[in-house]
Amino acid sequence: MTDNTVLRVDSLWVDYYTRSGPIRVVQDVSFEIRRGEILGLAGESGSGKSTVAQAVTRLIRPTVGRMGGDVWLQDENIAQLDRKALRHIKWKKVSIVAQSAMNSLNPVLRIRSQFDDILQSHGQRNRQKNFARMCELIEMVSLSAEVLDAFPHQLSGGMKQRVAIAMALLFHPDLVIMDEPTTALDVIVEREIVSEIKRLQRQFGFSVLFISHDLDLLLRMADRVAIMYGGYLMEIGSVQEFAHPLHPYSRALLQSFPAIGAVGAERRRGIPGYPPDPANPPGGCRFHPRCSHSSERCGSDLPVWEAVEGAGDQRVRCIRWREIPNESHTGSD
Amino acid sequence: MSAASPSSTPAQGAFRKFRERNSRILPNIKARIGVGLLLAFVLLAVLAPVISPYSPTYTGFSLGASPSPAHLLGTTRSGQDILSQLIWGTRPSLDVSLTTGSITMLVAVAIGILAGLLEGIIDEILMLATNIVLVLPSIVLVIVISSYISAASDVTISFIIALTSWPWGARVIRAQTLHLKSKDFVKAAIASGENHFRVAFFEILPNMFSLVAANFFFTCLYAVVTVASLQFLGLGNINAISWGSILYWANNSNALMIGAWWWFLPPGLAIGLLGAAFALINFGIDELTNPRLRREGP
Amino acid sequence: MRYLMRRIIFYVVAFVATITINFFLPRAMPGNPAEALMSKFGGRLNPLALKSIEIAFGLHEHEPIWNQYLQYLGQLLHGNLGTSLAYYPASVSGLIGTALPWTLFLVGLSTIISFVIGIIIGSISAWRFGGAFDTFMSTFFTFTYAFPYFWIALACLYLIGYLWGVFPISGAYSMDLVPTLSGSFVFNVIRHAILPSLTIIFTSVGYWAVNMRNTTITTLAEDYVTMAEAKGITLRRILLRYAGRNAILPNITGFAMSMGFIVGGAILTEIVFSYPGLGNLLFQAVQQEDYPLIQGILMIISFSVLAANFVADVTYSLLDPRVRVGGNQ
Ligand SMILES: Nc1ncnc2c1ncn2[C@@H]1O[C@H](COP(=O)(O)OP(=O)(O)O)[C@@H](O)[C@H]1O
Ligand SMILES: [Mg+2]
Repeated sequence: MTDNTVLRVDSLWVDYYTRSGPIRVVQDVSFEIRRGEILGLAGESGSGKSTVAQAVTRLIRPTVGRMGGDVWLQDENIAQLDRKALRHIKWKKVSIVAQSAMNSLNPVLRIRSQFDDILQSHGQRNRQKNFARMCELIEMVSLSAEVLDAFPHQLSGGMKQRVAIAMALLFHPDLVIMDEPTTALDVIVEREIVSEIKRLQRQFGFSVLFISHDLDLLLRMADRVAIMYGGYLMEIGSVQEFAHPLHPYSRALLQSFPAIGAVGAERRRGIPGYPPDPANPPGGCRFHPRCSHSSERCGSDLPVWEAVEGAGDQRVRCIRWREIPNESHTGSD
Repeated sequence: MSAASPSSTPAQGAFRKFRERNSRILPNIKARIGVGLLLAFVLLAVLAPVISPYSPTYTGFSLGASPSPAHLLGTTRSGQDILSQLIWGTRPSLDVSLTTGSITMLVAVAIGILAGLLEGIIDEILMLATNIVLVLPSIVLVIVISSYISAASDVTISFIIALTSWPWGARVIRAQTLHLKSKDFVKAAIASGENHFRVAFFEILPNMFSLVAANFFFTCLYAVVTVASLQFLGLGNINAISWGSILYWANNSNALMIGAWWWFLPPGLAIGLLGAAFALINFGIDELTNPRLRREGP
Repeated sequence: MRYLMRRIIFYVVAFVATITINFFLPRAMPGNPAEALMSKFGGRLNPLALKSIEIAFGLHEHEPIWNQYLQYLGQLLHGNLGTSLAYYPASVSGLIGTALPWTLFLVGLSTIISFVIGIIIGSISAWRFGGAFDTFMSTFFTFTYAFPYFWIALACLYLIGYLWGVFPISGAYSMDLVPTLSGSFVFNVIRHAILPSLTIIFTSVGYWAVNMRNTTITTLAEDYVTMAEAKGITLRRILLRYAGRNAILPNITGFAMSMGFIVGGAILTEIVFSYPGLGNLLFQAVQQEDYPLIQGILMIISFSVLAANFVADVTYSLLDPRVRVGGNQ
């Protein structure tokens, strides 16, 4: 691994325990994040995005599920660390802004004590220094220091999200995972928060794994984008490469959002059919039942995570990706 | 959970859920033991005439004898066979707990659904009443009322207990009703002008089967213990043979002080076991319906 | 504060309702119990006792019920609960005044101990969810839950008090002692309280443990607990400040709702151990059909339960900032 890589995930898989036995919700996921880069992770709800985020930070409790594969945070394999060693890495090297940042703050403690809990747990006991650091962070996310004395329920959704971002930056981590950080917010606040994130990221140079079901948003803010479907990564590439995605699912996903700058007439076009049931997934390519390009082989052969030669680190998981561009040109779609 | 297929109506969906849940009750070990215990007691009650070695009221045996092959649990001070009394005592104990459970459940369901469905002022009044009865010390109230009525019958006592113990169920059922009301199929039924009774019976009730069942068994547990307590205090019908009245006579005859453990330990154990059967079923249903309480790990 | 105001109004309404129930209950009973009384005591009743029954049950049919009610309320306001029939000429309030402190001491202390033990066991169970400790405790408590208080009391009395003989088995202190504040008397009182309080603790601890276990399991699945783990916060802090602090809140509400049960159980325990509290007094009153005393005790117990509920509410509002401090939501 080069010095330039902050996170390398290799053949990650995750099972959840259910009544009818373990179900695999993430399978053979491999990707890298480079220093100072924003990687967008897109996919329909239920495709396994949050599970990847939790596995990468080892938040899957042993009573809930199990995981395997390698998760290299620089030179340490998170997947193999014991509890103690893990606790010291957490938040220092990688932090999270959770999907439900609305509920990710403890309702009975003041914001200030919640900052304090983190600092104290990592051995920083100097109260004055701690307080100064909190103030600095809170102002960095454009809030006033009074917020520190508030309880979470006294803050608006956008303010809570800013607090969560401030907390995530507490120890200057190399990587910040943001799981749908703006999904619960209205459009205006979403825009503010996104530009805030971009500004901070440019200022401090941390890397971001930005998870969202909104591919359009990711294409606007990320450097590279990965597409997830039914627990598998389907395609990864730079934003430029996604101008012409290779995987039929990426295309469908792209088309299901209005193009940038499109006017009212351009309506969303959903993908027909339903996402796969993780307890009972289709054989072969997970997407083949909904794919307009599927052949017989798609239902039996599992496509590999294939590098697209000559194109940076673009990868795709489709056995027909070479044939498809021609087909769609002839209009058989 | 997979989405209901488009062809099934909400009622069918609810029925399927009920069946699924039903088929999951049995695998649950707590519920299974509970149901087993309960069935054992039912069997004991039904077969009392066959199993019981003697008539429970016959007083001709030696007085206050300790356990022997002829009288496995000894005899009372007035010469009755305690084992026979214990076996026959199963009947009224089961009877009164199931009756009380049913009455309480009916009241709780009626008030809970009504309050949840109607909202507004009726809801406010019903909930105020519920909260007031909830904070009243129910056992004390039951003791006082049954002391006002001299020699209250078992049915009367069932009613008195039901009268003071419905609020627990009413509260959870109201909450669940409010929750169901926000579901699309109930909204649709209400919007289409279906009358409240139909909505309650066909849309809401089938969807809280487990809640109602849990509440029923919880009240049964409460009733077994409460009725026994009343009889132990000499309230209610102490001349009929029941576990509580055995304890009353044992206590009255100073069984404890003469060391006659065979007189007062077995009826208490029986009450406890029947109570545990109800508790186990109740916990089992709770765990089935609250997925977080279930361990699904390896 | 709005929250506490609302609760206070509720308790006032509840108390008025209790008084009203207390007033109408005997009048609504089939076969007026007062008449039974009159025929039992007949001419032996002196004017004061007669007056007491009259107010409690309304013998004078010609008086409109509304007047009777007002008269009853007036008596209550003066702290006059009437005269006992069984302990004539003792006043009902006097008898209750002697018994109440013993009940508050026994039940209050045992309940607090049982609550604390239950909360601790429940937290450990939840954290070791599905482990040996959890499995053993849940099974064990299913049974303690189901056994009647009075029978556990009997068993306790028989095994520890009678067979083993280490603790006194009846009363609140030895009869040959004169109540003083001396060390030996206090020690004697504590020795007498041990068996009854063990009974109360044993039978009620399971309730708290099971509830705390369940609320903790629910809380452990909350996002803020998962996030606390992600933040590398120490396990101790997570357990106490994140999981525990939040999981205990519903238990305090539950505490209020269970007061009725607790008091009921405690009453039976008192009876078995002849502990001179309200429960035992109630039992005596019931046996001797001392209706004014029964009525007075019912009222005092209801009032105590309401007061305990109020204390629980205040505690809750202190622990939950969402109630204590207003906000956007
Ligand atoms: N604790 C859990 N137990 C069982 N299944 C789960 C659990 N959490 C998530 N899942 C399932 O795993 C799949 C992926 O979920 P998730 O990672 O949350 O998807 P996304 O974040 O992309 O919406 C879904 O099918 C979801 O139902
Ligand atoms: Mg998600």
